[in-house]
Amino acid sequence: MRAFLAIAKKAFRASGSGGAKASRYAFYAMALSGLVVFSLIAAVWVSFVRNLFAVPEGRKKVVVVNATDSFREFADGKDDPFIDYRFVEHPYVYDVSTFSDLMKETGSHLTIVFDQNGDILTFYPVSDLDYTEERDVFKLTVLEKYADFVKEKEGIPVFSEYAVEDFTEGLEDPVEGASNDPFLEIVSFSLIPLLYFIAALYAAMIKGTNVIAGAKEQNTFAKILMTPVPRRTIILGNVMGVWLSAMIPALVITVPLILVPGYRAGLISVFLIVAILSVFIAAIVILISVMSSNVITAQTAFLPVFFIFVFLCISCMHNPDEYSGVYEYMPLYGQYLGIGMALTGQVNILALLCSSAITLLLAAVCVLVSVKLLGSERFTVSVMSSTDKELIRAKKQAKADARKKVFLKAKTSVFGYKPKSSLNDLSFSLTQLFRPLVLLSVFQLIAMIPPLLMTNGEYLTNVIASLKAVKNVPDVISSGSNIIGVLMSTPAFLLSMALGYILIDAYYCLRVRFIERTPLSSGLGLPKDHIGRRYLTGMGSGLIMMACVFGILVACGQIKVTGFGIAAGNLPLFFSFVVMWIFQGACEEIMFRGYMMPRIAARYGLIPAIAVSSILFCLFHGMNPGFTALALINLILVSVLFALIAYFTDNIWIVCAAHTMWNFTQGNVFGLEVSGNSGNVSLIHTELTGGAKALMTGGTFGPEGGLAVTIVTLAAICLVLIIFRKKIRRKRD
Amino acid sequence: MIEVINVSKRYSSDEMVVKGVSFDVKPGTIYGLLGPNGAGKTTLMLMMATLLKPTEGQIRICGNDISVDTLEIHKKIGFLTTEVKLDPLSTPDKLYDFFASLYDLPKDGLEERKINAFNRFGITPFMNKRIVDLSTGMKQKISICISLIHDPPVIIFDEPTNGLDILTSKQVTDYLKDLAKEGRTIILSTHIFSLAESLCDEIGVLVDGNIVASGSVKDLCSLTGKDSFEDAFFDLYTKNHKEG
Repeated sequence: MRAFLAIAKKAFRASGSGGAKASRYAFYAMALSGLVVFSLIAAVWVSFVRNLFAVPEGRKKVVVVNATDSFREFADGKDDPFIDYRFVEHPYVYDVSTFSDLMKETGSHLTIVFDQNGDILTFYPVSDLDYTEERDVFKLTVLEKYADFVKEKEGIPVFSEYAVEDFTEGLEDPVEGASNDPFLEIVSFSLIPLLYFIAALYAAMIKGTNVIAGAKEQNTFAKILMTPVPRRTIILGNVMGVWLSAMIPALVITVPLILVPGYRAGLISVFLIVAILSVFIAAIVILISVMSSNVITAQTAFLPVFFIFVFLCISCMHNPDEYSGVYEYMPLYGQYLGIGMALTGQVNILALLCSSAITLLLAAVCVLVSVKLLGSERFTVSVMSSTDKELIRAKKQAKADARKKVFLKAKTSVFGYKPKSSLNDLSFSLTQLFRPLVLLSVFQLIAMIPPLLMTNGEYLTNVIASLKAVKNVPDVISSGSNIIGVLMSTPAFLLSMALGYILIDAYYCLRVRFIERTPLSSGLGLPKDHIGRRYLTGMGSGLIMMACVFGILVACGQIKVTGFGIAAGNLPLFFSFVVMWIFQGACEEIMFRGYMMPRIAARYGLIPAIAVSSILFCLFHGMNPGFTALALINLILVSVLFALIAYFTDNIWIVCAAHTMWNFTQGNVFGLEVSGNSGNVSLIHTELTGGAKALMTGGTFGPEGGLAVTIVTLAAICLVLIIFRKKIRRKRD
Repeated sequence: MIEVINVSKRYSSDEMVVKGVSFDVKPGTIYGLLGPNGAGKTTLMLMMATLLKPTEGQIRICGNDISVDTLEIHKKIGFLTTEVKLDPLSTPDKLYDFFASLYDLPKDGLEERKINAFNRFGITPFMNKRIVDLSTGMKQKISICISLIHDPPVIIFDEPTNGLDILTSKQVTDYLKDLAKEGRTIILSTHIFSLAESLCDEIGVLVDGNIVASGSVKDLCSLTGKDSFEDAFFDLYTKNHKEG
């Protein structure tokens, strides 16, 4: 007990600045500016809330002209706390301007006029059509009740389904509730609990991070650990000290509240609630402190906790009504709402007990975990001597250097690339894998936004409709393809896709050039010479290959040509496709062949590089509709073909062009599906013949899912191996 | 009194810092651990003081296993290392009272004991100054006072004369000799030959985490066939130290 008190006292007295004394003037300046900012915020906030309450003064006002006796009786009998009837006599039934003045004068939005026959006419301010609804509700509820009232008087039984409350919805019942001032009520559910939370959090953070983590930082903690004081006493003593310091600001906030008459009754409960909250906060801070080795780490680790608490407060502040009921029984929410409820005199004892019990339980868990952690060497104290630390650091450095030496020697050099990354294998693989994934998903999603916005929400409606139609897994794919189909027919989408690809290309170029500090020729396979010749070669080979595929399909009677040419209206779309394909092809080649291949080859060799980049390339197309096993094989073959070309020619200009041309001719020249995505404009119009087999044509995935492409690609791979046979021999030697 | 049995220590996944060290220290003797920086002296002492757990082996102090009766051990040892500091914003007076309550020392006569302890090292004039404002030597003397606040039978001091001037150093060594005469067991680590030679009844030479030789100064000299203790140490060191 003596040790516990001594530790608590020491923790309570611990300096908040961890030994580094700030100048007294700096402290005054901070306190002053804090006060100024706080008063400004409070002033703005108070005036804002006051304004909120200026408008509905608690009762709806209705002007009643020439009221019948029965209506007066109805109104008096109801003794309605919500509706304030103003009875007026007036000779004219349709004197709108007088009624309008009357409404302005009384602040009412509604006038009802009884004519000689006892029929009712209603008027609302003509300038403002918003009040039609109010009038309709009034008719449906109050007048309906009045009708019932009249019927009942004449002995006719009535069953009305409407309630007058609908008309007065949203108005607070002025009789119930202890606080008559809605302003006080709002403040007690928002500003005051928030202040208590932040004060407790801040005070606990400053103290708690200093006591254990601070002691560890200054190497004074071991001295305490060396005493015959059990670990749990150390933890509990520190929690106690931190709790005490967290209670000081709570006290400071509580004292001025005594001046508010409406609050006095609930302040003791509020103080108890804050005390329990502070126990939890203190326990969390001590846990974090035990886990940290210095004050800065501890405070950084506490920041998320701080923000979670503040976020919780703000969500409650924003809409206290929503966070009632079950929330009152939960920890933290219970305390937040409990403070408000105690202040406004509507304490729910059971909820408070429940939330307090859970909170204390959580605090106990924190304490237990802290005690356990304090038993572990890792979290107790870093008393390794500086020489030992130096030795260990030197060993680690030597290990890293050895690793660097291994990784920086290129196993196989593609494009003459010299590796610079000494990441370990796992990080290396993860970055290689996730970089394209992240880039593509981010930029392609962004590309969807402009067309959705530009078409005035028409496509958005379509997209939502097709998403709503999803009922099972196959539907997801078909609705996805519907969306893509819809989007693919808008130039806006294609151009923003192109922009996305340009940005990805730019990212890679800038990364290689300025972060990896490697020339583009070796880093991405984009040498500056012979660009035109190389690009044209690529375009030619892409065109020839696709033409072969088309030729095979036509010769086998799988597809037939139905027409030629593009309608003038579709020209923008056609050219958007051209632009899109140029950058799409370049982008995929840069990602998989230009960037990924030399880096993997340098570390693991050429064959793994080609295999991995091809498999990834193919997986990125695997989400497209109509994907089949044959499509997988074809995509891998195409990818291998491109990889080989890039490797043998030491650049990716050719494959960029070939890729672009392949897709372009496929979709917009021969009118076929490109990797499952249909283009809507093409120079040659084709359709599948009656006898078409999916095995050859690839079905909905397009020819890339069919045998024709397999044949052509295999042939092309053989051709490449033959053309470059000398180079293969040389490279092998 | 102190039995160290085949103790090894490995910091997380790194190389062994202490490799299978064993020795005994008899009551009323001063045992010195001598070795260069990084030999594992501090680590070994931290293990004896229960601040680190041995990866392998056992340490027994007064018959108690350090990893079982930890709190019991804390009552019996006075531990000092330069790596563990005193709260810089506190004063010697306050620190003494604080640790007195942590050790649950009787309150009667506490004030007298404090004054006696402070007088012995000349701390009394500074007892209400903040630690941060005091000199290195003064801090070390206060540390020694506080380490011995509970009058422990076993004293473990890591480089007790580190950073002290000759006079203070003499004060400390004399005090340690007195303590040993009173029947206390003392282990101290040092890399100062004169200190080891003049103070220690037995010396263990620690090289690369191993005790390569142990015995009195004479024993070590005759073991290596050298005339001076210094030469004997260097002989042992060069024979046993492996590079890298």
